[in-house]
Amino acid sequence: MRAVRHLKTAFVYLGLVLLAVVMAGPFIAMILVAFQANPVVTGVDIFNLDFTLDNFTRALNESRLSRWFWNSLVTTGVITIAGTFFSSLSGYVLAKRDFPGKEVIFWLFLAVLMFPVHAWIIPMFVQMSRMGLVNTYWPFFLSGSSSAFGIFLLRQYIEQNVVTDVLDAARIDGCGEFRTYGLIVLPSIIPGLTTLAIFLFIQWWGQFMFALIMTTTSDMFTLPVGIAMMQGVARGNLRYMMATTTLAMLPTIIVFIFFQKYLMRGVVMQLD
Amino acid sequence: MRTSSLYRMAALTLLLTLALSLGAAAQTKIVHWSFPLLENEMERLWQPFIEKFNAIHPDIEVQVEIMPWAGRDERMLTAVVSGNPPDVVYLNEFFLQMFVSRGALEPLDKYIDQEELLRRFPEQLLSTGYHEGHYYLAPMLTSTVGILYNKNIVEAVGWDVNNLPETWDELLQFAEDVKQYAAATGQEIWPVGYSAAMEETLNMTLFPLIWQAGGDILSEDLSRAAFNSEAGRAVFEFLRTLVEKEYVSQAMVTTGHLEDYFIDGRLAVQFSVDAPQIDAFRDRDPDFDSYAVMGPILRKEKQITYGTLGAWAIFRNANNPEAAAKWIEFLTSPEINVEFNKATGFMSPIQGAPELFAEDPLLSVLEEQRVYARGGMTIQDERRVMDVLKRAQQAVMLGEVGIDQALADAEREVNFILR
Amino acid sequence: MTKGKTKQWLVCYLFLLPNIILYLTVRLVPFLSTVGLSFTDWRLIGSPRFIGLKNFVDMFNYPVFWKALQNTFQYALYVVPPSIILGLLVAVLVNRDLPGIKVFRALYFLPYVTSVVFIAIVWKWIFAADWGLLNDLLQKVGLPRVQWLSSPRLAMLSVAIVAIWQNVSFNMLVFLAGLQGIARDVYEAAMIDGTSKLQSFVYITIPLLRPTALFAAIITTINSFQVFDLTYVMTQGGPLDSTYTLVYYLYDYGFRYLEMGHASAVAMVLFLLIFALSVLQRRLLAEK
Repeated sequence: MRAVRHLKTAFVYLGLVLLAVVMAGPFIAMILVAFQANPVVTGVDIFNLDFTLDNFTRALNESRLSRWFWNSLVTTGVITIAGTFFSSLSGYVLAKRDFPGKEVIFWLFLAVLMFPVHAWIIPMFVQMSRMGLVNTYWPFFLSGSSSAFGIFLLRQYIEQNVVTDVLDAARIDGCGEFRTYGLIVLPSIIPGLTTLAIFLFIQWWGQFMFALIMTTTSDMFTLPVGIAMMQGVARGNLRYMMATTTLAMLPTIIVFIFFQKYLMRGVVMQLD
Repeated sequence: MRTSSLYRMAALTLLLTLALSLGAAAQTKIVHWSFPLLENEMERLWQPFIEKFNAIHPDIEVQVEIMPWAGRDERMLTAVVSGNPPDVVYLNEFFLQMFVSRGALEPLDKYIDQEELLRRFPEQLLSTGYHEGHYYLAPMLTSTVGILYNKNIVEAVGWDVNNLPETWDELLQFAEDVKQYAAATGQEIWPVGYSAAMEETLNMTLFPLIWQAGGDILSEDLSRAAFNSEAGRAVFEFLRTLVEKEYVSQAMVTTGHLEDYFIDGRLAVQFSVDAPQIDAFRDRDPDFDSYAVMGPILRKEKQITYGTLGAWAIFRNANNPEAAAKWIEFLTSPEINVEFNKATGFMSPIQGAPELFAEDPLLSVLEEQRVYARGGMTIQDERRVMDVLKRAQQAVMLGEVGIDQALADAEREVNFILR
Repeated sequence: MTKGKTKQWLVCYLFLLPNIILYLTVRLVPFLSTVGLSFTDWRLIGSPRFIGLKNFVDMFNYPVFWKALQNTFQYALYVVPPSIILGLLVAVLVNRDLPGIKVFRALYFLPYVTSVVFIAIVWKWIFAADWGLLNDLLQKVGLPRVQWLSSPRLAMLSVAIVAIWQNVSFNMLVFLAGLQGIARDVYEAAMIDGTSKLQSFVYITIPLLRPTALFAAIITTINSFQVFDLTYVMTQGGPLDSTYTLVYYLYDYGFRYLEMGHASAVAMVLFLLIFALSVLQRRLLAEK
């Protein structure tokens, strides 16, 4: 009986490892190629590995990688902070306060949630053009800071995690709404805020179509756009492409490693 | 701090700010959009030029932006529409209609005398930028598209480097020889590198072939499709043969080629090679010249290839059009223009410019082949029309659609677009 | 209403203000503009010209539009079922307490957190016919090359594989949460009754996972309808428009040919499709 169970466990581990190869394989292959100096057409010759840092140094020196990185950081950073902040404001009042028109607002936000980006991107582009805001950070700030997903996530989180009695007690003590929000609600929903922030970060760091449309000069590209554009130019050099892609992926991977728990929780919270 | 010293400080700061802002105002700034023409071009080309320019015009600040080729028409149009275009932009001749018809360009002769323009540039080049009484384009370079061979493979299959294929039939024969050779020696060598990927502009691939077959893409007055003809049929048959006989890899038809391939010796012939491509190859492999050789422009009925005119233009809503015109005058002055073209490998369009590349084994060939070059389509919907033909080309090469069918469908679509 | 109460709900609206302003300006108004623009002809320069339903008529007469529509549905069909089923299977696999299981779970989540563009670039290399990793491996074991991305027949499948790969990463987590939400006593009761593991899986787990599966299915479907980054980087809509979907058609007309009216009409069609799906989700999920 024991033997059968051990065998079964072994099989499970085998399955897990195979799956790991499938899921993480492409990343490992990419990193492997990025470190190669051997100019094999297919990127890597397994029998002839030749490690070097050249591709990375070239990526850092020649392309505008650092500029694109900075653009992504600024846009994603502001969106994450503003988006989380605004969502918490709205989520709070929608969860814990009553006021006329609450249902209407709720349905308004819900309806917007169902608008895919394509339903508004053309006029948005035109509007930004007319205002001279194309090829600036503003389209990102304006579009990304309003997150219907964030509002619902935090509303639910606040409903579940902030006890109304505490809020009432605060009000009796004479706390104004803002103080209640800032001193009581915010500190108690930090995990929720973090989850949303991580989500927004991951979502917008990898944003492509929006950035492609809203930026025109290469000094304003975000990381995904810049790297996709590089493909045409650096099409010849596989190792260089892989090195730049590896560098580009690093931020999200780092965020992922440190904040997995929040990410996973965020996915789970959407289920309800 | 005592009040009087506070006032003194405030006054000083104000004065300083005033001085600085006046200084800034005194400096006019122009933004210049160019596209990758050379590796490391900011250091090698633009910075020295800007310095020389500033020696003559210290009050004009020039900011050069190198933009990617991909999606450039949309970017330029967006910039124009958003009311924030660059002052100077690099335009090929086929872009004229797209911009001038939308009223997006400033006439150059508003700032530079027409006589001066005619003195500097040959009339036939200048006239490609002519529209309703004004000149809009200042020619900076002409570029031809050639065909590249791998010397080692040529000799290995028994051909003579001085006697490379001149006609389509000879090319097919050469390709067959390479194919046999590769099979016999067990190597992976693709005879022909011809990319039909959607990202590749047809100016460098399909259109020269149509002209070589004696036909044209559109009618003289640019109002109807003209490629559904004997010539069109001949071209598509030729391309279909390339794929059927496995001279061109199927993947290259749809996803394009990899620079590594030619450098690795896995490609015998590469189409669509111009000066920047040669520069990119040389940058990748210092030994490039030892195995690369340019072949003659092919002929079916005519010997003809694509040549483009690269020119500078000023956008209508530019901040400083006068300063922009000065910069353009500087760039197209004989000395600077020649320096520019020597560096980039293009040909100078200036009247009386010398042959620049007599010593360069590859670029000299391109320079000689200038006489066979002609320009591309100049219509407003160039992008859409080209997309239709790109699809037709792919369909035929992959054998998905019959040649007559593909030509007829494409003709119908193009006529619809041009209506 | 007393003055205190008025002040109170004013403050509430103050809290809502950033989101309300942003929604009005960057979502609602542009959306209404899209609706309006879809009845005009406008090339970005000049003013829009009202042309009624002509954009829609043109669209329905244009074979490429139908191809794009067909591709969109076909692509969803390729991507959604495997994404769900495989996601469930992987979740079952990792839903146990073995040592190191957390590491595996984290690893499997990697594809989801990475940007689609970067994933596309790596897979484009893997699938490349002449210089790709996959074909290289195939050739090393003596198999012929496959035209993964350069054959009109295979291209969509190849792109779908990448999408599935990324979706499984996400769905695994969804199903894991769902599985862990099923109370243990349900299983214990079943075991006492003598049902086998397989039976309990089929007759208990799967029905109980219905809402989870539905959620995953709708999210995956809506995402697959909006595919763009993947096809833009990997195939550019080709070869021969085999991976040309509605969103790509919208992008071409809206941002390459700059025919804003026509593109808006396409946006309307796309929106209606997605809206219908979202409504379906609410409806299906509501009837628990």
